[in-house]
Amino acid sequence: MTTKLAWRNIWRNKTRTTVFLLAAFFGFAMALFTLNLMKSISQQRLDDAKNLQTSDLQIHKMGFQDDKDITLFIPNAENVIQKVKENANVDVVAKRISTNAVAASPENSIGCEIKGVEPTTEREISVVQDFLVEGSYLSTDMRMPILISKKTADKLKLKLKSKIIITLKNTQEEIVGGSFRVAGIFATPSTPFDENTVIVNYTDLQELGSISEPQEIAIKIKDPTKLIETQSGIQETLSAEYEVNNWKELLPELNAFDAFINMVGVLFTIIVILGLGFSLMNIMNMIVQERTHEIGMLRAIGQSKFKVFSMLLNEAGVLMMIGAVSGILFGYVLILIASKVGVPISSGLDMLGIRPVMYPKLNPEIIIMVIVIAKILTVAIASIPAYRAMRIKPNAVLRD
Amino acid sequence: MNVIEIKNLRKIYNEKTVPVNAVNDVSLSFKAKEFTAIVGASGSGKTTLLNLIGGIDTPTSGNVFINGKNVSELSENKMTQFRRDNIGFVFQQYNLLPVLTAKENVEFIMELQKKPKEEREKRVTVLLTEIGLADKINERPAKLSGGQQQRVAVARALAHKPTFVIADEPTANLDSKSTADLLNIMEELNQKEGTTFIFSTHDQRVVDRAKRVIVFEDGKVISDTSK
Repeated sequence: MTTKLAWRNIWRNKTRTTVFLLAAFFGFAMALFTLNLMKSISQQRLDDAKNLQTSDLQIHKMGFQDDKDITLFIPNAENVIQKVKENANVDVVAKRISTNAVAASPENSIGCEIKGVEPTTEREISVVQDFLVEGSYLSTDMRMPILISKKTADKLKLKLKSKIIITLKNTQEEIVGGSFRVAGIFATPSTPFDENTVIVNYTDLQELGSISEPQEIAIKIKDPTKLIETQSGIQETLSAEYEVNNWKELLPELNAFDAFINMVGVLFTIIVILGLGFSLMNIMNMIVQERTHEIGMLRAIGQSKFKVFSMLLNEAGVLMMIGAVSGILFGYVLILIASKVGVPISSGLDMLGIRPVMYPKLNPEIIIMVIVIAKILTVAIASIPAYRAMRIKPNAVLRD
Repeated sequence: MNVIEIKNLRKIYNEKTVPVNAVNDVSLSFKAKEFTAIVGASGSGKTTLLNLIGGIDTPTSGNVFINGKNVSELSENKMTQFRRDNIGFVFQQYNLLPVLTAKENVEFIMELQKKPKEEREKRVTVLLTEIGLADKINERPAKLSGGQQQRVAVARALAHKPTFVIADEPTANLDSKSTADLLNIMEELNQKEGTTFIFSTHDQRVVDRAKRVIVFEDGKVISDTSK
């Protein structure tokens, strides 16, 4: 009877209820859509950075992360790799050399980070090959192949198979140079990565820089939810001279951005629902005002204060629930459509690694968050008029 | 045996400003099955007296005993529960819940009492048949006439088999035929159910049908006659 009564009561004033439900419907739908879009942008930035740059975990010699000194290589790298592979959650392990260099063409020169990778394992851990727009991945039938970004190619005015000179400081502190040939040109969604990275074969860079061991071991894990557990497990098997970092530690700015997006999401939801909440409070106040006599009568015939309170909360809950459920369903449909057709994002944002077109995915956590916030705020806001109703005395009403 | 006993009941409104003695040192008793009319001019204090007997107002002093229990000492929550289980109310304005059907209005208090559905259905059918509205069981109050609404209100007041029913000017808004019908029903149920009826009224037709008439003036009983 309580829910039936609440349902019938909310339709006593059809116009008022319809206006509120429309506001709640669009409010919830837009909140859900916007939050999922923001979360997808944040997730895409993290995924791109992780897949292009860091992978899940990285091992370095202690101190390498501070100044990327080329001499801080990983001693006994093959032993370390064997130990890492013993961890059940480890999927792929790749060794890398990474140092700062200058890339020059007859037209121009730029500072960059040169990465030496083993093509076979790197292809399993990184997604750069997925973003090749010309040529192929570090091909074996070309001497000294190099992968550069479209942006670098434009700056240096290079084409496929053009020569490029890489100059760097080797482990003996000497300036050395090598001539590479452009094997492939990539264009990833990450502008910082594209502007700063060139990729060559591990052995070519090893030879050029007189580097005996890698400075970086990148690890892809099977179950990303066991990131910290796997990190600790690997760290325990290695001595203190090695440092194991997860992608969150390696990409603190992106991790902070994700946390910021989450916080903005919660605030945005609270603002939308607060707006609806005050509208709901206004409606509930009107309801109490209009039904003072009736509530007094209910108290007189024996309805307890608690029942009056819960009756009003029920009405507020039913109102908000209809708005929330229909709005969330509509938001879900919008996200489904957007995930197929894409949402154009301002082109200037590619500087931040945001893709020009986003395909948002539905994040169940956001739905749960929206529902929880809506529920808490509804109870908190509706409690005020419900408390007023609860205090209505039957004698004050029936004397008139 | 006395169902209700009132001892030295007093109700003063606006005690600190301009005191109004709505009920002034009244002592009365009501037996089971009584059909009593409290008569008096507007402002004589009869509604206040009914509210005090019904426990929806608290006395300034004095006590109300119902079946030997001093209800004036009950807390607000206990009094609400006591009203729900022992007292039926009929109001001048009918006060049915507009969103509920006749059947749902009648079974409302039994729902509050958490009575089983079967028991509720049975009782509602009996009562609505007795008041002659078996065919209006699923109608909402807006579809019923004033007389029909007040009959549903009487059925609601009796649904949970209370010790007594308090009716505040139940015929004030009814035409002659509806008044006669309602009084017939109230009398019949008073006899069949054995429920004590106390009602305030201005209406001479109601006074004529009452078995006991208490005349109230300025918060005091000036006559108490049994027929």
